[in-house]
Amino acid sequence: MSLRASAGLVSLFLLTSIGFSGLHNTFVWPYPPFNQLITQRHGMQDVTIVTAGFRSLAADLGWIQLLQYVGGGFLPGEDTKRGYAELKPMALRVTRLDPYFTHAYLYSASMLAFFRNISRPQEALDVLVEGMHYNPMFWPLRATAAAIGFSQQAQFDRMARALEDAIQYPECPALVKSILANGYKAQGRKADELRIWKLILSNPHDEQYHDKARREIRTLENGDTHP
Amino acid sequence: MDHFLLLVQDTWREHIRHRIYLSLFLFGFALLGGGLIISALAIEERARLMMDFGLAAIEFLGLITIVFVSVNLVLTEMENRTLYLILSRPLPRGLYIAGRFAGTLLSITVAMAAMAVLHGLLLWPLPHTISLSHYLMAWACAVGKIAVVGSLALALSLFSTSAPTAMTFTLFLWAIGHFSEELKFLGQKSANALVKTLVWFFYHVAPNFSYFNYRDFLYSPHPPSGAWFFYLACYTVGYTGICLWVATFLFSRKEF
Amino acid sequence: MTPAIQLDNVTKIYRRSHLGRVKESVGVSDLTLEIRAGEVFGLLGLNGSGKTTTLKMLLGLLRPTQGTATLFGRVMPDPEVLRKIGYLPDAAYLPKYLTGEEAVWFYATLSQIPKQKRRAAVEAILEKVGMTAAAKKKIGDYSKGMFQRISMAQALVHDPELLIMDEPITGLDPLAVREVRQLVAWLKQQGRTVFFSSHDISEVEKVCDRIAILANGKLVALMEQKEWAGQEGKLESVFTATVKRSEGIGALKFS
Repeated sequence: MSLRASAGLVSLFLLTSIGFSGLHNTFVWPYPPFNQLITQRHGMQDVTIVTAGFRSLAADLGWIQLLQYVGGGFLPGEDTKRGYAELKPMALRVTRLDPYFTHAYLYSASMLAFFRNISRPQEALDVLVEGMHYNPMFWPLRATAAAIGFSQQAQFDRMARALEDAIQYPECPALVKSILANGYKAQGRKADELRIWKLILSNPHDEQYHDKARREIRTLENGDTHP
Repeated sequence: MDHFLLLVQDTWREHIRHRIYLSLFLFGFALLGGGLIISALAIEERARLMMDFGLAAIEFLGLITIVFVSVNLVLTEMENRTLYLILSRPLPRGLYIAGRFAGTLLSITVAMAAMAVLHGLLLWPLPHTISLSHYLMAWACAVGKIAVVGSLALALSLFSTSAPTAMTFTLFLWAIGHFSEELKFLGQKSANALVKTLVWFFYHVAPNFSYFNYRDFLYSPHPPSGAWFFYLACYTVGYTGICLWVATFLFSRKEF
Repeated sequence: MTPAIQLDNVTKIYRRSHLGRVKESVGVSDLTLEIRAGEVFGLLGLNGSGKTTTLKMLLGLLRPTQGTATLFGRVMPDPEVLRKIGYLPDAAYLPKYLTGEEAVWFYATLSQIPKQKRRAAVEAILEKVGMTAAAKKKIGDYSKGMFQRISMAQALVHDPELLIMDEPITGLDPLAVREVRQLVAWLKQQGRTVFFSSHDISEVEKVCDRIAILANGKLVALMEQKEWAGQEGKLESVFTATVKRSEGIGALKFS
């Protein structure tokens, strides 16, 4: 081996070592350990995609499966007496893959806490607490947790104020806004309800709820009784 | 420099004129289009899914192409003996390896850039929160990963002289490289000295591809700093260089 | 004067390992040969006698197990001396995705022809081999004869001092054989050295100044032109007397 070749190899090792130690010291592994992944029946799918290096995509596909579960019904072998029993594990599956998927925390917690045939606020709080651990500066999580707390104590005004804080963020799911609007509806606060539906209609992110928003606005502006 | 640029140009021509290469990237464009359909299922998070799916598709196509092309880069020339007319010229073997690799990386990078432009056009109308600079960094990190994998594939092809074996080992190291942090965690938990040693070896020797997944850190509240990119560049250039050095060493000892 | 080619006690042993067992075969054994600058030298032998092995050691494609192979005083492998060498292999190993012109340009650049002279050199050699009209077509679309012409062009574009040819007339039609003969005569006239391997005795005796006969990797005869000139069949009788088949097959018995 020539001197030049040896010197070249040593330089490359040095460069790699500088890079490796620099990354090692400046890079904080942002994910929970592998043994905390909740994969259940999707183990092969999640492990394959994560091992291939597409962790965020694995979370996205988990998210789609969660939406399909919420929209479509029960999983094979699920206890159907307990509505959406798999919702919390499916939510945590997504967020353990990507702990910074804030939309998933808010959506799942809102469904768990405020949907009539679910109504499992403790599970909702478990999801939100985990979200707050990884996203301490993302205030909608705290606001939603506060809203759940107030809702449990039948303190609607305080719950509404907490949710109003949460919905100011563009990442806040339309579901949360819809929950607040329905809350105002139940309290007979039509002006507040109308404001929230108009907020939903003006946001291109909330396209899924635009039809419902238009109907509700029409009903409120025409002074019709709600269907 | 003349020889190096000539080899880069020749390799570029070879890939551009090869039907399989173009077919692979047409497939990539189709994948991006498929992402547009799949992302509709994500409802409010459509932009996020389009972003993740698109970047993953670009990287995945780059990976398949560079592994296949790099493994066969020299082996094919050895088999059909076009190498004889090149090596019977005053061309150092290391320059041959460097030029062919650079040409391959250039052609794949251009194809990935074309896919990124299409991806950008599909993403543009959707409301999203990722800035152009973050997107470009995520794309650049994918290219860096492809460079490391390609150089690894080339070195392994000259070590094993069997294309399927080299491809298998490269893909194995791809998987291990994404598993590095988890391996480290397992090593820390294990009491077995052999396991600890093996884990230490793979953690330090196999390329750590998790560093390159900037697209996954886009959503975290603490994205990597500027210094991090400097270290990543050092790591990429250093590791790729070592693999090319090994490839040159193996190639210099070959007889034809 | 420095010889063009010097082989000193060159031996090449091929080692192949299979399932832990190492099998050795001798390609060339203790070969000593000197080829003077400006001469046309033919290397004769049966298939497997070591001709191609010898050529490859001169080009640096193989390394001798023992001994040294030297070109213009430089011990091979030495990339620098290869700019003086042109190599015409037994088959046209050309990249099919390039056009004829692109291929010749590619090899001209690799042979370190200065940039300002390159275009003229490429055009001139394409003209000389009669491929100017077909130069823009892809090599993949060429006929066998066109392959051969472009192969010749890449070997000669840089005006080499030594041309090494591996069985240049095998598989060629009589017209093509005559063209190769003309090429060799032209090169000799230019003062170039030509070293080629063949098993076509009739052609070898027409063009060569000296010949060597290899059998089973060993040099068995070395003759000058005056030893066979004017004596029809002399070279053939020496050849048949000195070589034996090593392929494990017996002679035909139809006489």
